[in-house]
Amino acid sequence: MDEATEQASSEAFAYKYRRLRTAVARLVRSDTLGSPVPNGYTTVDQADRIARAIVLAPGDRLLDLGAGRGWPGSRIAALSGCDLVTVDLPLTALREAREHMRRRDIGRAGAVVCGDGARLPFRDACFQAVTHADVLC
Amino acid sequence: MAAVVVEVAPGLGDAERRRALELGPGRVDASGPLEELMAGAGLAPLESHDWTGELRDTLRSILAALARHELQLRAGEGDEVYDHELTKKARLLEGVEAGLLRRTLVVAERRTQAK
Repeated sequence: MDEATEQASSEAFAYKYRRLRTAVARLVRSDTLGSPVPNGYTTVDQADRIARAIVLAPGDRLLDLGAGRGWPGSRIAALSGCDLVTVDLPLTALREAREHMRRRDIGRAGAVVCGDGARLPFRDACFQAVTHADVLC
Repeated sequence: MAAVVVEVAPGLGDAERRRALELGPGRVDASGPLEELMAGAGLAPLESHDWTGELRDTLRSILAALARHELQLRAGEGDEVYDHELTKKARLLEGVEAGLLRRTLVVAERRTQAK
């Protein structure tokens, strides 16, 4: 992706997370995806199936790339007890992710990181699993 | 790694592919077949699931909810946001129902180097 496209994409997603934050928008997500948290199209049931597929335990570390409000990583961390690091660019979404994780005590020693998935600020092999759901959708 | 993407369905002709790109998410052209992309990144696929039917059901459900809550959403989010959401979801559903777009989950593990 060239720099101009990347910038346009980043701004479009920042806009996406500034809107659809009203109570009724959250209600639509709850009605259709099973929770007010999801971004994209991953339902609670699908997040649970991903959790069963990657099999994490307390003490493991999960990286959720392009996680927006922290989905599906926050669900997987809640089920497994793993530490969660979510990465995305829009600050509005990251603040919601941080608030959701703090309120539910999810992710333990995890972090919410503003970063680009193509240039991750982590050393190699420091995660047991990576999730990536509906990024750029 | 577990990755879920909406991608262009395999085996389309040029015109169908162009239509899929028009109807799909903004960067749907960035994703090749997911399994191939993951293999190219040194990951060995363990399991793959077609979640296209579930995406179709989710989109229908979202469109029904948008219609059900139209007045409150237009009042709270504005007409532009409402119309954008409605159009985006309807176009994606059209692509899915026409067999042009699919949604796939692939679970893969890092390939270990032979010694």
